[in-house]
Amino acid sequence: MADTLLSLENVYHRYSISRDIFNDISLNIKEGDFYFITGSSGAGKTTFLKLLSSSLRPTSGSVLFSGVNLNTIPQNKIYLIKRKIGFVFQDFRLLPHLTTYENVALPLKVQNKKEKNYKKDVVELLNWVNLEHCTHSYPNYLSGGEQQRAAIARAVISTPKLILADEPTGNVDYENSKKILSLFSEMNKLGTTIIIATHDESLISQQRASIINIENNGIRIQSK
Amino acid sequence: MNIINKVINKSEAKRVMKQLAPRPSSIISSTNFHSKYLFIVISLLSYLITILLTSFVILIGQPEFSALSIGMIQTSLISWVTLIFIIFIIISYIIIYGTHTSIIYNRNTINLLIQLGASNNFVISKIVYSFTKIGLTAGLTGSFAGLITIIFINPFLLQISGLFNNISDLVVVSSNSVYAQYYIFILIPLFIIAVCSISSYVTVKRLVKKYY
Ligand SMILES: Nc1ncnc2c1ncn2[C@@H]1O[C@H](COP(=O)(O)OP(=O)(O)OP(=O)(O)O)[C@@H](O)[C@H]1O
Ligand SMILES: [Mg+2]
Repeated sequence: MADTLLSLENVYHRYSISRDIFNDISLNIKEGDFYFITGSSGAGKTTFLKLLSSSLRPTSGSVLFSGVNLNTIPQNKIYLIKRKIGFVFQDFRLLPHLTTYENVALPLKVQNKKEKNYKKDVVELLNWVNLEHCTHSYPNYLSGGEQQRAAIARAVISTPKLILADEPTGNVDYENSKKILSLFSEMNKLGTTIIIATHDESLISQQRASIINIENNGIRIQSK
Repeated sequence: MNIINKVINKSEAKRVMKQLAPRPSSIISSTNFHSKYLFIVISLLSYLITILLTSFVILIGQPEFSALSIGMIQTSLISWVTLIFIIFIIISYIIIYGTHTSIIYNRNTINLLIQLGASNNFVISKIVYSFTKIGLTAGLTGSFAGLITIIFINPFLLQISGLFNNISDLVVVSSNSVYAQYYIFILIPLFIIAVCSISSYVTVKRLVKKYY
């Protein structure tokens, strides 16, 4: 039986008093699980991922990462949790003043790793996501799909325990989205927990995974 | 037509150059609009300190100075020390202000770094580093400019004093005593670096704790 990686206990969340986003959700996610998150636009997919990634505190209830309560962890220790999570943002968030290579290497750099130890890995990964021609370009000179692939490369470069991807195939063609999914799939086989928020039905049909559907301020789970 | 082509080619060349990063970029963008002005102002202040301090060191080396009454010596000492102290306070204030601006200007970068697993200390060190760099370059520039001024002004003053013999010897800067005070030109940049890095460290530590 795999260990529990994430657990949500009676989580409520609202951004303003007038509208609840989540109303009492509880959920356990085990290590090595693969989940898709679906739901209409504005349902709360991004909010859900933010709650899991410790970048948003629930209004009430608690989120536990490997048994650590994210509400009570001291602010100056939270980076240790974040290092175990790779996040693909819906809006990419590449830094415009760093090259693609530097952007992808950033998670390693903030961990004070030496460049000579990771340079080869970064270049290899860039080749793998077909970005070798943009290695030294700045993100503003990349197409939407190229930026998205750079964002994905940045999320996986530090081989995190958990990958949270928000619409990771929203801007790429079918071939590249298949490739991205196979990357996630490979990582999943190696034990990484993957959670992908997506609208893309074809993506969901390609992968054996459980589905968390967000509707009416709650979640409905469809096991694989 | 030719001119238009030329312009286009030039801007194209620039674009290509920009696409290819020449060297590793710093994570906290140092091309901030304010870093240039910070550099200029701190250079000027460091120049001022250099001139003040050298003239002071030269003056107390003069035999006429020790001949002054205790009261006058005390007064001049106190005013000099106060003046230099105030300039350091001003530098510190400018850096504190600049650190606030830098944190606001780089908030997206800082947010992302924290999201990617940067510790507070990592973020703090990157910001403090950018201000230490400004302190280093501005401190060196200012004190070097001060050194040049003093070297060039010396013969000039000697000449004047030759023309008007009644000008007090105090005004005449003896070149020997200036060259003996080289350590001032090392000490001043060191002090400025220290003031810059300590001021920004204290500020950024407080702000990062508060907001992130
Ligand atoms: N920072 C915020 N402050 C206030 N309201 C917010 C904030 N972020 C999101 N919301 C609101 O919360 C709701 C859920 O937003 P969320 O971004 O989670 O939706 P989503 O399911 O990811 O949608 P999409 O598919 O369009 O990305 C939306 O109605 C949005 O307006
Ligand atoms: Mg979203």
